Order: sequence, then C-alpha cells, then structure tokens
Amino acid sequence: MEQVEKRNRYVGLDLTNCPESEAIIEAVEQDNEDVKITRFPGYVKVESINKLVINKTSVEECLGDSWETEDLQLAVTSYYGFMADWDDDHIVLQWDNV
Amino acid sequence: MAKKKRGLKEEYNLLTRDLDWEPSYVPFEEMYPYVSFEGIKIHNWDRWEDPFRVTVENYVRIQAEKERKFHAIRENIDMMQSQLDLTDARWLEAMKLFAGVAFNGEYNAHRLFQYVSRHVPIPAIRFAAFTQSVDELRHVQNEVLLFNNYNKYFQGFHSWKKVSHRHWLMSVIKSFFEDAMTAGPFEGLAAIAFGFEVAFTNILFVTMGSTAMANNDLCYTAVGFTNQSDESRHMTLGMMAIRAMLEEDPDNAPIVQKWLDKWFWRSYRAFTAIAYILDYVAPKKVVSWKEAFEMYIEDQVLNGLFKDLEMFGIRKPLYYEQAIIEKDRISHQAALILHRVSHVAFFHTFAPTAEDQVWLEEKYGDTWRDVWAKKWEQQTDPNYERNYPGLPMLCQTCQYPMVFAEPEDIHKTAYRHSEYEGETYHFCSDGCKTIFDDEPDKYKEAWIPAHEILSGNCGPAEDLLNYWGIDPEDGGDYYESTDYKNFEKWKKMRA
Repeated sequence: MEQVEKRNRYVGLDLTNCPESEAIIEAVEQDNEDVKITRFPGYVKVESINKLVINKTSVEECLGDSWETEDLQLAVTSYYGFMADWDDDHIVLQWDNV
Repeated sequence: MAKKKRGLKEEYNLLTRDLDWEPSYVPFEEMYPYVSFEGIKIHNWDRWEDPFRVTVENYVRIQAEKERKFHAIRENIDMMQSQLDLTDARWLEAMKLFAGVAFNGEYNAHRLFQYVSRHVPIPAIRFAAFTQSVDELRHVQNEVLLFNNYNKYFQGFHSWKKVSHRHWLMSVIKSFFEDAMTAGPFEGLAAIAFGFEVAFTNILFVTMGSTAMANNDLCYTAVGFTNQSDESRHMTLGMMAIRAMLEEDPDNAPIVQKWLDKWFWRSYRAFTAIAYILDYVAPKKVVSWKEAFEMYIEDQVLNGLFKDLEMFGIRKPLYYEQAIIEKDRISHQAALILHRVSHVAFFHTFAPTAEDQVWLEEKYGDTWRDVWAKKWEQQTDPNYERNYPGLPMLCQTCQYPMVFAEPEDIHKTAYRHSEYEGETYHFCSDGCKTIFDDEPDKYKEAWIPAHEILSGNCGPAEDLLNYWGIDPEDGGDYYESTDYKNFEKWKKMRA
C-alpha cells in the first residue's frame, strides 16, 4: 500500500555473529554512506540506501587478515537487493530502479 | 614458471557455462522436452551468469567449512545436554511442527531443483540448480540429526517421516511442493526460488533462528543460519532467473506475472505456521510476525524487489494488500485453530500465559484487545468445548483450515467457492480461489485429508492416529504434558 512505498528503500545483508561479520560491517561503514546497523540475537542487519559496496581490501584491513570475497558466503545468512557485481576485489549489491 | 591465477569470473565461465554443449545426436527439443510448453521465450541462453559464480571447487570448499562449523556446534550440544538450557521445553513444540514440515519442505525442494537443473536449458541456471539440490539434501540431513537429539528426551519426534507424509496438517506443505513439481520447469523455479526463498524462508531461518537463539536453542539457530546461508545463493538464482525471463522477451512478462501472483500467495499461506511459532510458541519472543512481515516482505520484497521489476511491466503480486491487512491476524487465527485440534496433532498446544498476553498486547495493540484476547477468553472458558469435532474444513488450494477473516471484516470468516464440473470447491481467500479458477483441472485432484479418510484411503478410522504417526500423548495441552513435567523435573535435578 502507499505507506510501504514511502519508506526508505534499502539493500542489505543479514550477517551471523562472527569476527568476519564485524570486519565486513566496519568495512561497509567506511565505504558507504547512510549505513544502518540493527542487531538481533544471533545476527546483524547491515543496510544502506539503494546501494552497498563491500571492498576486499577494506575488509582485510578491518579483519587484520586475508579475506576473499567468496568468503562472504560463510558470514551471510541472507541479503536483499540485486547482486550487481561479485568479483575478486569487490561485491556490489543494489537496486537498479532508483 | 607458475601460471597466473585465473580470476573469479574467468574461472566461473570456464567451469560452468563453457562446459555446456549443443546436442548433436538428438534435436534440442528432444533433449529439453519441457522447454516450450509454458510459453517462455529465451533468445540467448548463454548470457546469464550466477552472480555468486559458484564452481565445483569453491562450492565444495565453502560447504565443507559450513558443515564443519555446524557439526562442531551440534556435537557440543549433544555432549553438554544443552536441551536443559532451553528457556522452556515449550519451544520444542515449534521444532515438532518444523520436523513435520522438513521432509516435505527440504527433501522435495531437493527433487524440485533436480527437475529444474535437468530441464531449464540455461547453463548458469542448470549448474546453480544442481548445487542447490545438493544444498537441500544437506539441510534435510542436518535437520534429521537435530530431531534425533530431541527425540532422546521429548515426545512428538519419533515418527516425523510418517507425520510428514501422512498427517492431515502436513498436506499444506506437501501440496505446495507437489504443485511446484508438477508445473513446468520455469514455473517450478519461480515457485521455489522466488516465492519460497526470496520472500519467506528469511522468516523461517533468520527470524526464527534468532528467536531460537533467544530461547537458548543453539542447535536450531545453527541449522537456521547455515541453511539460510545456502538460501542466499538460491535467492540470487531466483532473482536472476526472473530477470532473465523478463529481459529476454516482453511476451514473458504476463506469464511471469501470473507465477509471481500465484506463488506469492501460495508461499504466504504455507508460512502461516511460522507466524504462530514467533508470536505464540516461543517462550521468549524476539520479533513478532507483524514486524518480520514488515521487514522481510513489505520492505525487502514489495518495496524493494517489486519496484525494480516495475521496469519490466511487473506489478506487485495480486492480493498483496490482503496479506498486509492480515499481518495483525494470522498468528492468532492459527494459534486458535491449532489449540482446538491438539487431540489430532503431533505437538502440544496451550493458551497464551499471562506473560505471553502482555507481549501480544504490546505488539498487536487494539486488535489484540478488541478481538484476539476475547477469542482466547471464550476458547479457555471451562464450559466451552476445547476440541474441534472431527477435522476442520480445509481450503481446496492451500489446504489450511478455513479460519481466515474477510479482509474488510475481522469478525467474519471468509468463505469463497467455485463450481466446476458439477462439484463445489471451497477456499479460504480470494488468492486461493483465483489460483484454483486458473487451473481447476489441477486443483480438483488435490488430496484433501478428510475426503481421503472418508473414502477409506487412510486405513480404519479408529487407527487414524497410528496412520498419522502419532501417539495420543504427543498432542493435548502442553502444561499437562509429560514433556512439561519432565523438563521441570530435569531442571530441578540439575540445579
């Protein structure tokens, strides 16, 4: 209904509680604007309006260890938005119709 | 000299898409016999990629890591007897329901992905669907291990397989997957990947996983999160497949729209039990059905995904407004009917405690005070017959008991019906009636438990509980059950 459409349109990830997730969240906060973090028992929701980028080098800096973009699969329980790009150095999640 | 390591994209293309071949011994149509009857037009099979870029190598590595993590938690729980850490054994009434659903849900999802993988001639989809069929096997196996642990101490887990196949309430989920598996391969994919996985499994595995954690059921939390991490890939496949169909040919849009309409409603109804679990069963509650629906369905699907699909002429799914209206209702409607049928159920039920009621009022406000609190007052009146006589009337399409109210009148139960070939068929909602009317020859064949019992297809009537796989002690009121008494006793012993 109309009410639904007036809300901000986010893309986001649900990440399980683990050290990698914390590093990903920190990296997302660094590299994106308007990041929203909501914590639930067992998982964290990290969201950003319309687009969210995860950079490999930022995650590695925050984690203090090497990290491959495909390792996101070990931390992510769910996400929303289209996976616009997933390469060796970054992952882009976005809505196209903005 | 060491070879330069190939990038993710190159590796993916070499190991999936480029391994596909044009058939030369048989014509294309013979190799893919179901490719055209649904009317989907695809011009370029090769240009679609799975954004997760899963190859056999990284699939095996990542899944092995997930399994290692999960089994470490599970074995630890088994060793530490962590079932005694639960907030209350009442939580396990949710796990019993889940055990009934799991075999149909997960194992049939495995079969459905096999079917998609075999018959959709897009290499990226075929490979992704293949790995997903393996995922679903992993899920059902891990869930069986979970039930095995509970079964050592609690009632209701002893015959989950029989329950799953035969119990009258389980025909909800069984009919869902049989419907999807008997559709064409593109519709089957839309059913599982969009309806189930993009939209509703989030609430089952993430929200319910989180609620499990709040109730110290680390085992379900671990199952939920590890399963849903696979579902993330499945969601990607679903969204990619829908976009592929829409972008390949404008003629596909009306066909896809019809599937999105149907499977949104079908999935929504199938997940009613989760609303009951979040709002009623969990002793410690985290997020209400209403909040979970707003987060995962309204924000992420209706306002998120569907706004992007507008670019291809797709509108929001039919009757989504009714699902929004019902967010204040379905957990209560489900709880009330389940409370009345616990003599023919494989789990215990109970009326909300004083503490539960405070939370329900906080989450549902006026609707709770004006409607549901009053219904519970009536339901728990000692002069009122708790048990439903016989089985409740079921909807011909979703097979749920007909307990849902008119969208415009919360006090009036909705009844819809259609006449077809001289027979009358009954439905719980406009959504379910529309689905029937579109394919009456399919849904007139639905296996409706009460009809089958009366036709003698479920053995002698006096032996029905055994046919369903339930012991009389499995049902009834939780607070009078052996499970409740044992749990209290064990906790005292440990203290």
